[in-house]
Amino acid sequence: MGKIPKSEHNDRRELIHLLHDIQEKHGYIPPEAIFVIARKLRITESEIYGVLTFYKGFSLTPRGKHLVTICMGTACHVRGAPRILDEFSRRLNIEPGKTTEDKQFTLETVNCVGACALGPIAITDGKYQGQLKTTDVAKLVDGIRDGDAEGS
Amino acid sequence: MKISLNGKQIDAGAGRTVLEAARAAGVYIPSLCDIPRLEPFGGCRLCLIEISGRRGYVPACCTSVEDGMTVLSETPALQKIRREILELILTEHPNACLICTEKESCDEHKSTIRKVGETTGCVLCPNNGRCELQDVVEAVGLDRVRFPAVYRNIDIKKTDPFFDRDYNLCILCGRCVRTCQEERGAGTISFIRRGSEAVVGTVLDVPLLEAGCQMCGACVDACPTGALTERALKYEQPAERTDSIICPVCGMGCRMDVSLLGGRIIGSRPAPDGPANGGQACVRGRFLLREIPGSDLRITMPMIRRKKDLEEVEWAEALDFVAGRLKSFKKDEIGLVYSTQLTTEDIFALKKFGRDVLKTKRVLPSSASGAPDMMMDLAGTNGSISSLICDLNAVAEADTLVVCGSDLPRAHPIAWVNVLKALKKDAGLVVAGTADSSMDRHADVTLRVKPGGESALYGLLAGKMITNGREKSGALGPGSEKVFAFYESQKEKALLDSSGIEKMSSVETAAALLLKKGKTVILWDTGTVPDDREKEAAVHLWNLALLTGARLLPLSSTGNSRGAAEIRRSFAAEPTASAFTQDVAEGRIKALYLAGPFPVLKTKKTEFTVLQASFWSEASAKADAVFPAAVFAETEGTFVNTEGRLQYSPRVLEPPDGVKEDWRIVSLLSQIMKRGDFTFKNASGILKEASEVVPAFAGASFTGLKKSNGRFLKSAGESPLNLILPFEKPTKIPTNKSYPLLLECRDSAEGYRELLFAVAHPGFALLRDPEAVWLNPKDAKSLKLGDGDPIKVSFFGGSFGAVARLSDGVPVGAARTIYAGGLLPELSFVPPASVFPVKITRGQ
Repeated sequence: MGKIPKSEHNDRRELIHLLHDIQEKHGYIPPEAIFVIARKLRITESEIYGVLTFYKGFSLTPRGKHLVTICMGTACHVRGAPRILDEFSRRLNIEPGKTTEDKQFTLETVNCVGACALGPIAITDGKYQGQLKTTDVAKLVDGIRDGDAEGS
Repeated sequence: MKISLNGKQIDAGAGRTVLEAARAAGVYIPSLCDIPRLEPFGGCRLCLIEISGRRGYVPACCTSVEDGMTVLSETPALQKIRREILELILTEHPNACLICTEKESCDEHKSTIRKVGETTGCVLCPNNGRCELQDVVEAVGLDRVRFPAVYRNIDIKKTDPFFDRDYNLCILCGRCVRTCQEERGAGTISFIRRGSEAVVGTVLDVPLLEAGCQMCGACVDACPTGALTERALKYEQPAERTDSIICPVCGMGCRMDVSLLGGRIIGSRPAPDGPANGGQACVRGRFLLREIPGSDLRITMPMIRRKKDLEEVEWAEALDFVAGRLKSFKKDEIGLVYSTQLTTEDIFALKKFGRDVLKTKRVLPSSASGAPDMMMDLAGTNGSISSLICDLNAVAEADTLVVCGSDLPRAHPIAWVNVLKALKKDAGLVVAGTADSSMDRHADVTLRVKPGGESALYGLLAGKMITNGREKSGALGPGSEKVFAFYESQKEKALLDSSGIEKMSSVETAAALLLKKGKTVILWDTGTVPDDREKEAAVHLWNLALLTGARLLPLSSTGNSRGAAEIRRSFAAEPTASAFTQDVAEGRIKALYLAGPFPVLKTKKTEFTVLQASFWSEASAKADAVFPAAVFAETEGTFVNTEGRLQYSPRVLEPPDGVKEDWRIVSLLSQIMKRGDFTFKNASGILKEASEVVPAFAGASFTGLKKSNGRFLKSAGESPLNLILPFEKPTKIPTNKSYPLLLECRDSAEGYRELLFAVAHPGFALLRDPEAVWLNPKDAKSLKLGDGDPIKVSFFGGSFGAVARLSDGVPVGAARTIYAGGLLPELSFVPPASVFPVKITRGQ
């Protein structure tokens, strides 16, 4: 694990900023970071663990290179989000919340992304993909894979 | 301040919440998350009330009273809301029994049904009958739960010692989380995850012990349901009665409510009205007291060694045998050791026995009274100690606190609870010590000294008081000019080096805090063997206190160390532990009378050894006679805690047949030997005599103490305090190339008399391993040692076996151990000092 980023205040106010920085840098929060932050901010390890398990945005296990988030909010749900999720799950061969063995994809669900008019919606690497149909899923996944292949 | 509650005018008292005011007026408002000592939380929403002029419903626990407020707590609307909230709470808590009409008769007929692993209803719950949820359901009146029941099916956590955690019964009131954080400053547990997955847990869900829990049990006492339950009580019937006693283990003098059943202590809880502890305790008082009277190691019959083995005999025979042999020794040939966990009366009787019957000046307390004793020594010539020391209440009220040489949360948890009270009110905290501590997180400045560097630091701080502007007042005694000159001529840089502190700036920060206006309290503890170096530290702290107008709280290690220190002053001077040990080793002490733990020394056999003990120990193998002695709850008497509070503890248990109180045993011997005046009929008579001989006890009596909730010792005269001139040359720890590491021996009361808690309960051994010697991983690496490896620790004059433990908290070049009274066979030695050079090698 690298260094813990610098922070303005050395107290509990900094906790979420620090967790964000670490999550962004490593793609997850390495468990040993909890103990380093605890010392730095002078709060208990259990408090940090409480905060980071509260938010879906923080993960304690390494995530894949690409993050696929499916909105499961009410509007998306009635427009078929479960079917979209199933299709991603089948294509990537992982359960929601898990990461593919080659560490390329992580599939997650959230409860609403606030873009109900575009439902059902998936977010791939930060890009909103609205009004999805199950037939679009294969294209999306392949597109991401091809993008990698071109890049390398 | 007056408010109207359900149409009745009640006197509310400013600063209270509505819930507190209602409780004080005897009006019941249901609540599951409120605890009087904690900050308002507003979690369970059961205490909702209506206030005229305010919209909606507000929680009574979070609403402060206002003059003329009109409050309704029992309207039909409120009752409906409460029932609905309770229904929601109960969907995730086994509830079938709660609303079952057969409940009462069920309890009667199925009294042992609780012996199941999983709790799915009240009759199966270890907390049945003690459950606050049951009380609230009863009060609110619920006859059905309309929502489907959810069993969360969380694994019951049974890997930690002393108590189980079954979060299937948890209602997430947060009392445990808040108690751990707010009241104990530990924060071992938090709410983790969210929504329907929320649960109370530790970091990364590790066991409590791994998360640094000290097992104080405060969370168990706070839990309103059966989620946290003491394992030992799980299958016990409800207690027959509860009595308050004083915990004899450490020097805090906690009042504990012991529950008694069939002549046994089945459990102990801190008494909410305990003057010293106020509803708090530590692992020793909370979970270990019950292990003491009924221990398997209890000695219940007198014994003598005729040929090879010890044989059980009648009291008369044993007394005659011992009296005959003791008579054959001349003056000062017998060494007497007494436990400082005995009552004041027992200690007084033993001291008198030593002087008048054994006719010896070689009398040694089993554990040094350390800090209080040293301060009393200084006070002897330089002023009255009562104008310098303070009580725990003053700690809670302080503006600045300095903790010197003690890891309070482990060694003196009740002192720590009071420090936390002050910190809540924004007090400053300076922590000075040799190792990391959970206090560091709360400290404004941490001064990490190397072992033996303490007195240099205290001297440096005292000097800073003068150089940084403290007025040089002549009111600090006739010799004060010399003391000022001493501190002004100190070489600060050299002192900083010998203290081992890295930066002068942290000392400056600490000095600035000490110079701030307001009440300052210095808490101080010594190591196992208070030596010249610690005497020097005591002088600097004394001066520091006088220069800042601070109060001192010297911490005593065992239950009656402070009482022993007072009694000692009315008798001939006691030898030091090392002088006593040498006398044994070199045969000047020919016989030992051990009424307290003393290590079995690897020297030639003493001619005659008498054990007046409650438990079998290593020493039994060398004893020629054994007298079974009563334990704390079996004898009435008094204890003096670290504050100097004299408290009465009653006899609540019958001792086993054949066991006698310590004072009675020595009285009987005195009568047979026809030496000394031991005509006491009871313990109260001994206190009466002590009160005439020992000035601090003047006027004390059992009757008075029972009525008055204890009292503070008086010291004669209120003479003004003087500054004391420190030693010209600072005491240095001898260094030796063959012994490259410095070992620090710390004693915290880890047992009662001869019984080590680590032996009495395997759970305690997991918490505090008495065999462990902690090393910095760097040193361990160069010694090629791993965690858990057996090691041999050699020092000039002896060696002992131990187990290596690695910790970043220990500085490089240092090692630490709990001395534990030398009770473990591997630790059978008397340390030459609190800090001394050692060599560590692999193997026993």
